Amino acid sequence: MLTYILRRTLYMIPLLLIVSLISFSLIKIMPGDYLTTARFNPQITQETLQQQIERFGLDKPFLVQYWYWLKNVIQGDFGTSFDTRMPVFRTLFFGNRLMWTILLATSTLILTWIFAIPIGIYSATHQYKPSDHVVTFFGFLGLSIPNFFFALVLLWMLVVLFRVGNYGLGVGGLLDARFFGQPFSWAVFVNYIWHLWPAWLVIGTAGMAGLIRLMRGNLLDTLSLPYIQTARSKGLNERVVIYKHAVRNAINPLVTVLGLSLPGLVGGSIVTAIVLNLPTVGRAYFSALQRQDEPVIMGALLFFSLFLLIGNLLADFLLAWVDPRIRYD
Amino acid sequence: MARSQRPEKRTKAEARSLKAESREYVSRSQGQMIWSAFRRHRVGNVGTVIILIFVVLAVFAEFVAPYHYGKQYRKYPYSPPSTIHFRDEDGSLTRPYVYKTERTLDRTTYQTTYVEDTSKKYPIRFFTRGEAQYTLFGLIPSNVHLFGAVADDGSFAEVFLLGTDSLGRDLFTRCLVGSWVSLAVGPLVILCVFPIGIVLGGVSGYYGGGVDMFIQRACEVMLAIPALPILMAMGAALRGFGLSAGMVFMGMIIALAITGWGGFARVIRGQVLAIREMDFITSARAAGASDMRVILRHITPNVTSYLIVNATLTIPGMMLLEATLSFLGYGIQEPMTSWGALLNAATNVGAIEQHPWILIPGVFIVISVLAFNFMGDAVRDAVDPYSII
Amino acid sequence: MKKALLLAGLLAVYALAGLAQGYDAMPADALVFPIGVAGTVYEDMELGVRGGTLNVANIEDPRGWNNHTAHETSTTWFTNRMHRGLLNLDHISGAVVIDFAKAYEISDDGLEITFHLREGINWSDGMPITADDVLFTYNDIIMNEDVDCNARDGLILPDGTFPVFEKVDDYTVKVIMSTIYRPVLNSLSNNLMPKHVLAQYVHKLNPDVPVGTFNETWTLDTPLTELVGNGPYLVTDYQVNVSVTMERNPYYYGYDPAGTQLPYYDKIVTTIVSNQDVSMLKFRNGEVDVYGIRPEDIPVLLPEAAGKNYSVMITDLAVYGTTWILVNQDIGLPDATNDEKRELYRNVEFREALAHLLDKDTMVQNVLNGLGGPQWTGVSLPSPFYAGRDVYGGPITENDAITFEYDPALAASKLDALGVVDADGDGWRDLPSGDPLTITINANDNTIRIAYCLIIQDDFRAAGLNANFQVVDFNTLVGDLFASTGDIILLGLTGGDEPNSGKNVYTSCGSLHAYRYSACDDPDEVDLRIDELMNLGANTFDLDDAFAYYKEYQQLLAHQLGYIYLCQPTFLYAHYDFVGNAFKASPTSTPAGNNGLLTELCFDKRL
Repeated sequence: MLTYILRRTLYMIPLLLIVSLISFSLIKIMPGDYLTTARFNPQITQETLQQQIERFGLDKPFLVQYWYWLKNVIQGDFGTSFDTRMPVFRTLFFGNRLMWTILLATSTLILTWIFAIPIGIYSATHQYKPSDHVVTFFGFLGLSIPNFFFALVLLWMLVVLFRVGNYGLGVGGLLDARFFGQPFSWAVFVNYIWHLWPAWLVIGTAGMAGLIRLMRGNLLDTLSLPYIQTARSKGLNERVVIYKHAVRNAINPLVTVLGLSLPGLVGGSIVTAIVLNLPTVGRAYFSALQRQDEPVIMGALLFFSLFLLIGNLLADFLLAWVDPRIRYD
Repeated sequence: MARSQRPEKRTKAEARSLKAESREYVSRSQGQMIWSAFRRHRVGNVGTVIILIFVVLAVFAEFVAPYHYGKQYRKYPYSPPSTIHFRDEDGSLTRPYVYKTERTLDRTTYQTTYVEDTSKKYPIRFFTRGEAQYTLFGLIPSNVHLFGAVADDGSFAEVFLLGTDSLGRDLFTRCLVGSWVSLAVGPLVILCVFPIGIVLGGVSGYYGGGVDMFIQRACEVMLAIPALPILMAMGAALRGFGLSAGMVFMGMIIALAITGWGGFARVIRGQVLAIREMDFITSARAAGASDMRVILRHITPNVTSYLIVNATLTIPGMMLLEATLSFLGYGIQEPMTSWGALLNAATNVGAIEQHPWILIPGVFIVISVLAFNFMGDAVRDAVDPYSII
Repeated sequence: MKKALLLAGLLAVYALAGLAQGYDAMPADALVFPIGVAGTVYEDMELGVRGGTLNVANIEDPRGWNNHTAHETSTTWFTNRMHRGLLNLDHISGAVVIDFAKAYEISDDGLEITFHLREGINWSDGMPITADDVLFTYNDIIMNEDVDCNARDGLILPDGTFPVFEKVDDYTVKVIMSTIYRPVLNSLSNNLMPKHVLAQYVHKLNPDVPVGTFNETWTLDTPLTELVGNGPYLVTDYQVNVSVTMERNPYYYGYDPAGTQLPYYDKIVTTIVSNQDVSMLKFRNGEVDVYGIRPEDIPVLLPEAAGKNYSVMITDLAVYGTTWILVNQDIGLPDATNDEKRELYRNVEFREALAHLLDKDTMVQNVLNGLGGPQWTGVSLPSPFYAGRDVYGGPITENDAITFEYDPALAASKLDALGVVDADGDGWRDLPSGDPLTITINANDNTIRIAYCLIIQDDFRAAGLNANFQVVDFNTLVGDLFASTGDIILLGLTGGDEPNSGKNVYTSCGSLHAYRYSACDDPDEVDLRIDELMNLGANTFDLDDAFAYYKEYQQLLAHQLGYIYLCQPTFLYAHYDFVGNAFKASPTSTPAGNNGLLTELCFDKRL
């Protein structure tokens, strides 16, 4: 098992290399560059502009630029952001960005599971009753509403319909202004939750439907197996039959979904974070993309890629761990 | 039985009843079984009907829409949906009609209101000749529209079923035209991804060895690329070539296909691997069938059910991706439009408050994605031989 | 005994007071803003009290804390409040006024300016500010080639040399120039930097550090306690993507007539938002006290204003800057094609016909919600040099405005007279020779600009011109601009009070003379006169003379129709009523975009 993990990890390196080449090509295809806005500024002379072009290395041919970048990366230097003049990952993860990104992703994941599994079980055990249809419908609804749209409508409802401002509650961002710089306390914690729940709702509902359907399908399959019939005819309580026997086995394949959904959360949260104003790595990527801050774009794409690969690895690992039939060696 | 061993001659009556019985055991083909299973899934049927309605509306968009999607009615920016009156002044039911409206800007509150001019009625008539020219199926030029508001003296009034946007463009028309892009994205991407995936996945799974290794590595690279961030970067790059809106659309389809084929090929490979070892394949090979024949005649049909299910479930995902990209500004460009692009105007909560009808394209997205999901659900249940009905 | 104790106690209190930050008493050389003083621009403002927190919202995070290497306003919004320069642009009128310099004289020949600095003023860490800091700022930062500083270009004199800064004594600095150049006064408002803190990062002064270290000094990484400035505020806290907190600088030298040290507000807390819709949301929710409005926000904010105790200010100023279309008079020149089209575009009669097809009224009504006005010159409306005025800084009368009315009939007759008629009967006008004429209109992805283009396209097509609008990515558009491709391009530029800042745009060899780069090699009389007027205007310190030159220059530009101007929105903002003095000007944004330096004059009325 260990060798398998080691092999997969080593294998990530050439993959990331190719991703970096693709990313770099994309960046170079984009029209203009970081300095285009400066060219358009009547206050700046051509000499100053030329100096800046040389300073950022934007006048060299494509392969030379890529080679410089690669050379630095091998030595551990991912470059300096054109904008902030700080190292790329310092810029991407500045402050608590990384922490918030991971916190948001994992908390959404946990909440989704806490809601989706019981709902899936309920749906399976009450199959084809009206409640099953209602639950399925709402699950699909969550899946069908685009994240950005949902976030917008939510914001509108909070501010205009429910007038939360009158209760001293803010929208968007992480905290209300009056809590800036305050030491951590119960009130601060509650305020964080208040600002985060719209994000959980928006991002979580997208993933819930799939999970509910999966849980339902798996449980239905398991419930039709012979050993369940045996358990029932043994006279066991229906509750025990379902939870102790069926669910335990039905959940196994879902574990892969756990690993695979992590990168999806990072992606799905980019748009939500933009609309709801949350500090995540995705937002840093978005603003770097708009300003064509090349080193940061490269660093961000590599980061997302790595996250994806780790998520895949986690999924495979969890599946092997949980299902004794699966072995990779 | 105490009869002799020899088969007895049947009486004519017995023969007739046997024949009648045998007729009741009609065998059904696989297609018919799938169809009846599909029919049983009622919610899926509703979804399918909705999709069909949208598709028909899209095909006949320029006929159904009363105006041209780019036409600005400069006197009616942000006009609310036209009020259609069903009763006349006495209160009795009459043919539906509208009034012309006049825009008034209140100089103190800066509120814009549209006041009806009740002096003249413009009844809604069908199959009217509008001013927007179009070609039916790209062949027959016409200017007949499904409906329009025409007064008895032949003059026209504007009918905005869903209101107008900031430039006075009819939202109903733009939603219809936008549906071309939104509804077409999914199928077009599938058209690109399927052939690549089937060929590569099939070859990879069937032949194994070095070819398999190579194709697998390629798939993994594709899977390692984070979808939305790369699509955003591709969208940014696409904008730069000064392409027409139609070409940008094609570019987007290709970008979506590029990020999508990896996973698909992977799964096809898995399916092929499973089927490859089955007895009927071995016997076909033993009978001397060539590789090509095995792949096309035996393996592919068994993968079809998976393909159909995958198609109906990928489409909603593609639609949402396109909507998100257009919303962020990295998708469809003017003058083409899609439901996602139309929502770009709704980012301002103040605008939503003042002109809530600009949210309607979002409702269309939700309905169609829902419908596709339910349809896909029904298809999957119908096609999967192992599912519990 | 008791007396001794009391004396000791008093002495202790005085000692402690001495240790406290800030000045013991108002410095003799303090800068006193004439708040409430009759006859000044500030006369209807009130004196305030110290205390309270101002809440504002900004789009995008700052990218660093280094004022001179910053490229974006999200950074300079903060650094402009941490530092001040010798001169400044007045908070309300926009005129050049003294700031850290308490007085200045210009020599008779106009080649020397002598600045007298305020004495006894300290940096925020208590060290005195002297002429050394001024020289350090100009010689070792701004004019230093190693430093990536955009402000350098503003100091270049017409003959290519830089002014020479000379220290006369600790509190007097002389600036010596080789030619008379009035616009240098604008550049002398550059923010001053503390030599004792930053000299160690400049390679020129400290060879131990590599070249270019200063470019990476005072980045976001720097502990905020290391930042030192002479402005009203200092940044004390930064949470990425969330907030920036600024607190008062105890050594700021601005005071009000009652002797109260400014700024009034103790703190400014800036919430960072990702787009303007969110900041409007926060304003309506009461989380933010001031907000810069867009025209489309007015119908939403006005109805609630009374009930929620805020005011929507619809000023009579336009936003600085220009929005224009240009007709590419060099089309096809690089590869010798499109000769006839180029001839046509170079014909001013054709451009006049197009100008008559611009329905600026509809643009203002529909796109700007009626909150804006048409533009006819490249100098911004609020500038004292705007040609719609009769004298420098006088009221706007538009007596000598050169405008082209929306008149499709006149346009049609002009086009007919030029021979641009429909020769082949396809419904579209063709070139005089009979070849088809198609006109592309390009703009970038900006809702207002797209809206303008769609209106223009409509009107052109109604007049029979085969015009087609396309949205093009901004970077590509700028590329097209420099490469002289495309027929009509719609873009905009920022502006300022000083017409000379448009040098690169309007002089025949300017890098942004995009409608006809070939004018550099081949100028006509109008081009030459424009170049001449630019020089004359800059070459005198007499404002009335300069005004006359610039007026003629603007009228020539308007006739020439190189850039054809459209409209500018009205400057709007909203503020809660408890923000004192905000009725006069917004504390966060002004039409000049100079970051609303009125912040130090606002106060919390609830205290």
